[in-house]
Amino acid sequence: VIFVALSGALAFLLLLAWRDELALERDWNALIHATPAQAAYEHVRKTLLLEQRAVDFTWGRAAEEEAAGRREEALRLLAVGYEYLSGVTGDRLRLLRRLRLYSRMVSGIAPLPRFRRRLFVLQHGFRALLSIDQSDQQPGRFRVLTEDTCSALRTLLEATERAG
Amino acid sequence: VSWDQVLSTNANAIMLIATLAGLVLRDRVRLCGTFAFYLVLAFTGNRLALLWPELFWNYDWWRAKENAYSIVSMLIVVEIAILTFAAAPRARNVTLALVAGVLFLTLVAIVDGPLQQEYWVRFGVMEPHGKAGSIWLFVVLLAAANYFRVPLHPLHRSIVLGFVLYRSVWAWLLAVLAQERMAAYPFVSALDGAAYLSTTSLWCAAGWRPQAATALTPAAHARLRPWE
Repeated sequence: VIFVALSGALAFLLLLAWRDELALERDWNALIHATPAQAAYEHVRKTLLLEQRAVDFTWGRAAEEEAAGRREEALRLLAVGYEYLSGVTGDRLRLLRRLRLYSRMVSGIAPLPRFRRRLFVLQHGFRALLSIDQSDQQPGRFRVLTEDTCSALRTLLEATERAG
Repeated sequence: VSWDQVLSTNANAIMLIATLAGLVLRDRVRLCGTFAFYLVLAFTGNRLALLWPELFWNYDWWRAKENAYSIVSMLIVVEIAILTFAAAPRARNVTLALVAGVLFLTLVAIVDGPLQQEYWVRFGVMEPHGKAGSIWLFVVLLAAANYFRVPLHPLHRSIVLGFVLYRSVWAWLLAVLAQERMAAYPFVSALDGAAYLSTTSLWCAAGWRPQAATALTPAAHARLRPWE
């Protein structure tokens, strides 16, 4: 019993230490003053699609250089593209982490069925993206994951709007 | 009743009444009505035990008093949960269901306790069951607030922190009493008085403290804390 009581007290203190009340309050400000779902969605989607186009463009140019026999230039473009892809993949993972935290707040108000599972699959997909061997598959997979991220974002924003 | 018990009982009475005065004068009773009720109850119990020790300084009275405090502290958890999750009804329902689950387990542990055992074992084993259960009620409340990322009001934070710290020390002291019997009583009594005084001092500071800084906008504040 003593162990149960003291472990409870320890768990309580750890939970309390992890809390940042001001940060939580700022997150609630963001939730309550959220931009209307459609506008917020369009804004983020535009940014994500621009990044998607940059990835497609780099890989497309690399393929053209390869076809023209300029293998060195093709490899240089692929290296640049890979570096850019790593950067935007990191951004996507950060965005998904934020959506995960935000979804916990929204789920306290309105139901969000299987949303966190969807985010988990997306996070796993983005992490796996950089480790695949065939680099020609990366832009295609990145496009699918980006579209799914947009769709998850839309679901969350709509739920936020419904929650009022 | 020894002189050190008189001293710590009086000191605790002063802190309890000072906390209540702080809540009333700062218009904070409405932030947790059950806590104000607990303060009145604890102060009354404190005075009765010291003013009429022949009637109220005994195990049966102590037991009745502790049971009443435990019931009120459970009501405090429920009230804080309802207030904290005012803007998040699903989170509130989940939290209250978890609180009910912990309450049920605590009751099972108490009923299953050593009812037929000798006095000190009963005293030292059954009481910590109740205290451990009430600590976990506060853990569940805080874990739910963490999961749903809902900020806690500074007064609520101090109330739950005080209860958890005091009850964990008390549960440990009761176990010492069960082990060492009467020989440990002076030591347990002195430490209990000191631990409770620290708790009431924390509550007193929370009751009188000026309004804490908040990052909430007026609209967010009205939505999250319509009761303030």
